[in-house]
Amino acid sequence: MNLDIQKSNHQMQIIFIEDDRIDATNLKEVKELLSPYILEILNSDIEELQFDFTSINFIDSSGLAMVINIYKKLAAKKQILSIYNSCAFVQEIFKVTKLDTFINIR
Amino acid sequence: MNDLTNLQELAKGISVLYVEDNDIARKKTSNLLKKIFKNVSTASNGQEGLSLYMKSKFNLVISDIVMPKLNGLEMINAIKQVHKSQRVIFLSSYSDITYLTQAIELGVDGFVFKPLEYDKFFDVIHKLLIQIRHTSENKQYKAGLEDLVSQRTKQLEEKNIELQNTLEELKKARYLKEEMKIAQKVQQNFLPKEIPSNKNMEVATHFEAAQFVGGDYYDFFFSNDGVINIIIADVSGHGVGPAITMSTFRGICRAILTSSNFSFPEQVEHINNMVCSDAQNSDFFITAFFIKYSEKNNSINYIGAGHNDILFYNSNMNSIEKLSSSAIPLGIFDTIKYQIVEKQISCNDFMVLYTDGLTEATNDKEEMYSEKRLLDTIHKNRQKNSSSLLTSITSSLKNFIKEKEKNDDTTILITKFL
Amino acid sequence: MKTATSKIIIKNSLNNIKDVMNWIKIDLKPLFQVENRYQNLKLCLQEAVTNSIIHGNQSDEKRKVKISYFISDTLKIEIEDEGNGVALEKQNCDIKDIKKEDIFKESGRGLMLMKHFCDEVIFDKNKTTLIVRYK
Repeated sequence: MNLDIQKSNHQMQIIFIEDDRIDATNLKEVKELLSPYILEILNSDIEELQFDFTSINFIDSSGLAMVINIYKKLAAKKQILSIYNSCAFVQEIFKVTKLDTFINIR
Repeated sequence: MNDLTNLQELAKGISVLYVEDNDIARKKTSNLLKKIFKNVSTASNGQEGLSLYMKSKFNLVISDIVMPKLNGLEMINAIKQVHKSQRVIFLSSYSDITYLTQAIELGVDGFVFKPLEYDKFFDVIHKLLIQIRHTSENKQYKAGLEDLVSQRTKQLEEKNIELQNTLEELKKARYLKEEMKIAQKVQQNFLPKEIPSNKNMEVATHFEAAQFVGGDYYDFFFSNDGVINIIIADVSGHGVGPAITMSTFRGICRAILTSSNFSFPEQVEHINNMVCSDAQNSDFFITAFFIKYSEKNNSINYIGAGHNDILFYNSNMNSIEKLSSSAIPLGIFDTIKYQIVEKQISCNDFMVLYTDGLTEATNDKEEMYSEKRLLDTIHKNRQKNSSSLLTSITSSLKNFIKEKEKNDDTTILITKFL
Repeated sequence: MKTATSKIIIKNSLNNIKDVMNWIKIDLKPLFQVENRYQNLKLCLQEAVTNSIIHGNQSDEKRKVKISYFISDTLKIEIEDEGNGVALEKQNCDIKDIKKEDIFKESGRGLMLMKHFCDEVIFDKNKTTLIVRYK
């Protein structure tokens, strides 16, 4: 898994590339890759973290757990997490678990 | 053809409406009908048939039942409102018994099952034409009424028997389908549900039945002293018969191989004797490989009866050996004596057992998958775990035969020793 | 109608999930006309296997997970671990009943997904059965 990072004044975008999934098989690796950036956001006045899910085709409950974990940390600092460019399958997964009620996903 | 001229004679002056929605069937059968009848009109569904009929009455209507717009039963029902004694022959497939009963209620003169057996079809037409003749001649033979009545009664009885037979045939077809389903359940139940869990043995299995039910069998079970019995077998032929035979064979093997009164060779002798007496009544034989694995002794003992070689990977030598059958298949001679072969097992050794459905599977060019390809695949993937090794064999087979249908059961068993 | 069955045993590690997905692909992918439905099956299976590895087998490397599939007029997949069994309360997890606070709890989610993406899920001690009507 590789990440592409783009920053602007009030936002950070993290684009996931090369792996098409966030699940039990690569969770540890993804967490390690993301953690420095999450730390950076929490210590800044960035208002929104955006995940670009263009290449993500698959996410399971462990992947969801990680996303929620990040959401909670950010929410404590009144920062927002949104996900965009997600495919229909991933959207359905968020919908079924009702995670779409508080995480912006499109 | 005498029959044809006879039919043509009887068919003089008779007009036919033939309704069939399948284009190919309609062309074929209407060409046939035109050989008998001078006047044949065709329609491709009930509605079209009905509107043709309304333009001019037909002496005989021959119709399919399942059709779009208006089905055959609905069309005939409408026609019979106008002409109660319209002559009808229905053509239908074996699919639903209710069509037959509905047709009888409507009043039908003949019922022929698809795919059409033409002699049966001609027979029905022939009988009906005679009836039509009789009906028209009846008007002239008032004096012979009694005679005619008894004839007609006889015909009705015959027709009744005919329709009963058709009903019987339909019932049989349904019964056979149910039997197949049951045989399938039987087979699913006698493949081992539980593979003995052993920390030293890792197993991966794959089984695919060719037709509905197969003649392959494999099994794993404990016998005394914690020995694990591994069996793979293949009965000649496949289908319902061999699956039932295998069911019995499984029972025999499980009972005999777990009895401590006999040595391993004696056990196989007994199994062979039972298969021989069974095989007297029907022609079959069973190829089998029996293996007993003793974790305690770190070894296997095996007896092969006409079955293909087992491919054994020796991790110390990093090579694949073949374990061969020393005897002919079971069920042929009842006087055979068997010999055990013993083999030591080391960690990371594995065995691949299979039936000839694997090596004899063919592709479009009629080439066989063959033992050679299997050996190559195993060799390439020999360091993998048992599930990945199984996947590499099944995917290699799939890539080779592509979409071509298999006509024999395929069984693959991999046992890896840890 | 074809019948086929296959059974494997994997060592208790998340790294083996890939092997499981490769194993089912050959027989199971062709059953589904629509790609979506095969994806749904993969998700269910992955959830069940992950559950067995982490919860059922307590992430113990020395344990194993047995997985088998049966193809007849439906598709049945069984996943069995060496644990003591899944608590019965998990069976009562229904999508309708989730309150907002619960959404933050991790454990229910995998089961929620399984129940949604599969026609039937049966929990029986240390064995989970997935049933998919693929026709």
